[in-house]
Amino acid sequence: MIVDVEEIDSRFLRRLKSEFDESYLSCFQCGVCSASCPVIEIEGRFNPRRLVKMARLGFKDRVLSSEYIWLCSMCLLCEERCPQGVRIPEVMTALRNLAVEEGYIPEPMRRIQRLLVESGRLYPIDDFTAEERAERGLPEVEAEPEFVKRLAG
Amino acid sequence: MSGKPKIGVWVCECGGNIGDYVDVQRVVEAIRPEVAYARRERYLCSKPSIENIKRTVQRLGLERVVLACCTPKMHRETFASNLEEVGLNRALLEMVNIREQCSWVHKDDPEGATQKALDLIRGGIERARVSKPLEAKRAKSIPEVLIIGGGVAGITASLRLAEYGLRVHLVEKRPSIGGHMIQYPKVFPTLDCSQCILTPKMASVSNNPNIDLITYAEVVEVSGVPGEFHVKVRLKPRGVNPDKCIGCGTCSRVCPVEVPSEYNMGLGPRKAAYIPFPQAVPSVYTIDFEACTRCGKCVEACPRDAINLDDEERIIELDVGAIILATGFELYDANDLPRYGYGRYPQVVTSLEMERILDVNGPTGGQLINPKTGKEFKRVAYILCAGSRDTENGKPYCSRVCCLYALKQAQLLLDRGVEVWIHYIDIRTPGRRYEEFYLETQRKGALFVKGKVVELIPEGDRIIVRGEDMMLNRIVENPVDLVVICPPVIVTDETHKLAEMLRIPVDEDGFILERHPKLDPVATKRDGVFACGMVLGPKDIQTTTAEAEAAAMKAVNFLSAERLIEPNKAYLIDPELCDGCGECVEACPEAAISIVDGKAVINEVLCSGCGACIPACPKGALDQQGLTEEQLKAQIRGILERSEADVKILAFVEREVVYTAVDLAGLARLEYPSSIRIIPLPSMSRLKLEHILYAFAYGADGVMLLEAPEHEGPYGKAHVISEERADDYRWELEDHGVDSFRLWYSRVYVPDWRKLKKVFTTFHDMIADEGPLDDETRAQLREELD
Amino acid sequence: MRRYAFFPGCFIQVRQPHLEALSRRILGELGVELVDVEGFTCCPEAVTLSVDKMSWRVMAARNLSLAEELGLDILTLCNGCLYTLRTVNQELKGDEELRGRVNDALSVIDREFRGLIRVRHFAEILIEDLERMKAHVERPLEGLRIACHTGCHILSPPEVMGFDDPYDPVILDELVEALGAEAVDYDLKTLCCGWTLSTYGSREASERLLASKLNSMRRGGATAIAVICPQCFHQFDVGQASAARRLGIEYRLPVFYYLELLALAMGFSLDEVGYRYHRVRSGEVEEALEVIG
Repeated sequence: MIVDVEEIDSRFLRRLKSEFDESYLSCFQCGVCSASCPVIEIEGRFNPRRLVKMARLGFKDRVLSSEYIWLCSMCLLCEERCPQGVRIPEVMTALRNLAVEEGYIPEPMRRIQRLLVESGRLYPIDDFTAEERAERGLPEVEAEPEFVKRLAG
Repeated sequence: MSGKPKIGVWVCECGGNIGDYVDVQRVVEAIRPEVAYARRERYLCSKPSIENIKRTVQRLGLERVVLACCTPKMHRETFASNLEEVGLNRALLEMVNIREQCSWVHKDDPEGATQKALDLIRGGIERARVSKPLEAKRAKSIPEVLIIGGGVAGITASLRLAEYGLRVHLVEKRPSIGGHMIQYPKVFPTLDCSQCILTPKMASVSNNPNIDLITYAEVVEVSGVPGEFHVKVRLKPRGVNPDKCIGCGTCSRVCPVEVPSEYNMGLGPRKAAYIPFPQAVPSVYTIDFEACTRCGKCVEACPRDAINLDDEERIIELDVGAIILATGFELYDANDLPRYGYGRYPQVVTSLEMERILDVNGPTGGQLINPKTGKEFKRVAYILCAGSRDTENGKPYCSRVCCLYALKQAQLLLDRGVEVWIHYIDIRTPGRRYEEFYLETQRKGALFVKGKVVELIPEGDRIIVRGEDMMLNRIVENPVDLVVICPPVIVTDETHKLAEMLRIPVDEDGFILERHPKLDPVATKRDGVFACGMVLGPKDIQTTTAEAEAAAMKAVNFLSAERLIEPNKAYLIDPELCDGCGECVEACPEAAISIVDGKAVINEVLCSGCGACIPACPKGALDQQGLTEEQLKAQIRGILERSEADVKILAFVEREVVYTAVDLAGLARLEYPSSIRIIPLPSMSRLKLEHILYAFAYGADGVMLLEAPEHEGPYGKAHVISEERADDYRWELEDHGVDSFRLWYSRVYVPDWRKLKKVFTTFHDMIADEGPLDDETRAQLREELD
Repeated sequence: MRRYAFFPGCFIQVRQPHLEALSRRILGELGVELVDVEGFTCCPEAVTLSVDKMSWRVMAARNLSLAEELGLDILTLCNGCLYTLRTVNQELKGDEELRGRVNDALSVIDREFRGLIRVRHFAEILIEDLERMKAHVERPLEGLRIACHTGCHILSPPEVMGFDDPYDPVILDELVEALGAEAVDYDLKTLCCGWTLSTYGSREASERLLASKLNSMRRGGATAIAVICPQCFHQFDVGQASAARRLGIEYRLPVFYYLELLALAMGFSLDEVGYRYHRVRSGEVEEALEVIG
């Protein structure tokens, strides 16, 4: 597999640096993050070190369209152990935000996002639940708070 | 013709460099009536011109000389030494810069340039009028050197200095010299027997009549000045008389107490009565009084009656001219690297411990057994960068020697059939024959894994080393019998205390700060104190040896020249004026002033001539040689009083760093307004409010203070104080009727010389817009000041 | 102050209303007054953070401002809610510029974040006053061997969360032992439960993570699990059942939300606690509790 240098997008690099997090610039590819990651154990193709390197080089499309940036469990073990102070989970969050902007969003997330915008909550109240809550004497929960639409707009 | 003293003025045209812009003829004619002699020259620095000046000085009996030409940084020395030949004291020579700081920067304004040149020369003349001759004092240094630290650095330096013929005092904290190098069985890349190449040098040290070897001792106090240091050394109680001890070892054999051996990194025992290793120098036994039970068996057994259990520490005093710091390193405490399990898992050892295990004279007799478990090891993993190159947990720097010594140890192990894994981030081989050594290690079969080790996991008798293998793109879990971690080298705690005692700064990692990282690597920030070896930063033995030789040479140089004490010192005008308030003591950045019998006393050797104390004295009792109040005011007045320029700005400029920047602007022919007239000073902290008011009183519309960056240049520390003072002065100006914006203060860095154009132009425009200071205020100020 | 703005979080409200009801009751018995705040919505969950950090902050700030209006600290039942609300609270309190931008967005709905309150988790208020809680224990849960799972979002990053040591969390163990049960040690104690992975679409990965965790707990000798977060609860309960089906392994490690354990220790029966709603149940635990009485 040959990597095409034409793929490097410097605008993406500038955005990553200025709007999100600069710490990834210090990465010297030691591999402590990958070796600490609980996710790599069960999904060998998820490699935080490689993702940081690709982001560092500016391979925007390759990185943002990757399904792997969504697998970080945010456990923060890598950040604790990184000798250069790279905040890998922050980088993952930044890449996710940028991916969403570009329209790369995993299907479950798309659903969730819609839910959030429509009802202000991720777990909508249906009639069954509302009834059960009432039975227990629990306070009613507003189904579709109006403000969310205003805020989302 | 003017009266005494007789002043001669020469104005150079410098080919056309000055002459094309400044009307030199007009200037000469304007000042001729004010002095004894005035002349225009085409090239002042040419041999015939200089001869001319000398002859004229003799012929007319001139007592002061003013030379208006290029920057004094070019030719001052030449002119001064030439004039000394005809009996003119160099303090009576005034140099005026009308090229870099005039003709070259006012090409578009020849009229302004001419007026400015005239003003500056007048300033020089008035200053010369009140100048007095000054003699530089000379002092001899004590021709003895103290070397602290008896490792390979200290040993090398002491042998070199002793060979040269200087007396050397080598102080070592341990009972024997040899440092860490004596602990290694082999060194890289030659795989020479380390002990074999060092012990002859150690023996030379002990035999050399010029070397006073003081072991088992520590430096506890250093006072005095460079060239004349007074040192106190604490001799720890050895319990054994070195003159009587024959090194038979009987005491050690009968001693019942066993403690961990420092030489063997605690992996094996030694007795309380011991010699650290057989080739120790001096070859004298020591009683470790912290472990000794005072049973007395050694005293009985000693055939020479050399042991005294009541031995006590003593303080000796030494007087030396120079000091070399060579206190070496220790390893970063592996206990502070919890993820690598040192101390928890006995299968983990440090690299220094491994050196001892490999040594045939070590705790295992050279057998491949881990002394902590007693078990043989067949499979070893090295963890490089364990706590180095780590900004979060450990030291941020690269420890430089670990890659090489790991490769060395690997080769020694591989030769004996051990399987060796090296887990690394990078392999750094920055020396001669090092890359080849790396290749050789690979050829011998070492296994390399690129990926920093994250943690160690015990499993039965073995330890699993976990890290990523980036080349295979897999996480590796490597079960081994023994793990060797390579922590970074750091300076010893004693070094920090010594640095404080010697008043030398250390850098952010604790290493001694060299005077200049590129051009002066073995000198410290203090004259007469030098350093070499690991104490300056991680390095291999070759580089340490080179530095030790260099430091020895620097010490020789320092001690052989007579020290010149420049006549630029602060002094007390009249003891009657001083009431011992101590304000000057506080202001002095060099701690050169003290109050003795209620009067200020200035140590001429410590005084750097920055002038910071002078404005601090509430009685005005202090003045400065070569920059007296009289001279300063005369120069200010001379430049301003008769100037016909529309706008006059007096810029006080720090005379080393900032002056250079201004010259550079001139060299680049940057154009800026001719209102700027420059007076150089050692530091802006020399200025009193009075001087600034004086400038306004006699014609300045604006005053600039251009200070050097903090701590740079010879008067470094003084530059810090001036900013605060300038702020105070600004407030006080308003009280005297002068708008505070007319006083400018900023710092100039040499690389920023291009900004000077903007700085000068901005201030000029501001002053020009506001208009000149009104005459009333000036008159009022003059009244106040007279 | 034992009066809080109650922030149950949307997960427990919908998926585990029995736990919400129990929590309200138990906390009430301990003297904690829970004030319901109209208008609280999803914190929002960190999923939003991944999609758009700014929106995440704005929604969290909105929830915080509601509590601010009442002048009450927030008490939450969920690690995730704690993470979101505490992180944004701290971030905005410390960064004027950011606060400005968030308040600009909030002004659309006439709200303002002022940074007046704190965000607490029920485990914090319990550990702070352990003696008071112990006083309510009528029936010590002897014989129960519990693997404590503190969860990720309440621990990291420690400079912000300030709850426990992410490498060696002990607070939940202390809380469990205060009830008379035994808190067992197991080697994957600090491993994430894996719930987050399933939200992003990898159910399989999530289950494999869970499996390793359950294995480790079993190896440590646990018979039950304690959690302090409804989503961890869901993962260890529904997730365990699903993993058991898919991987063909029965772990039989019932999980208890800590307040359930507290209820049991206070004398409630398994039935009263809502044990029948647990997907994973085990005879071992039921017997142990019967023995206790």
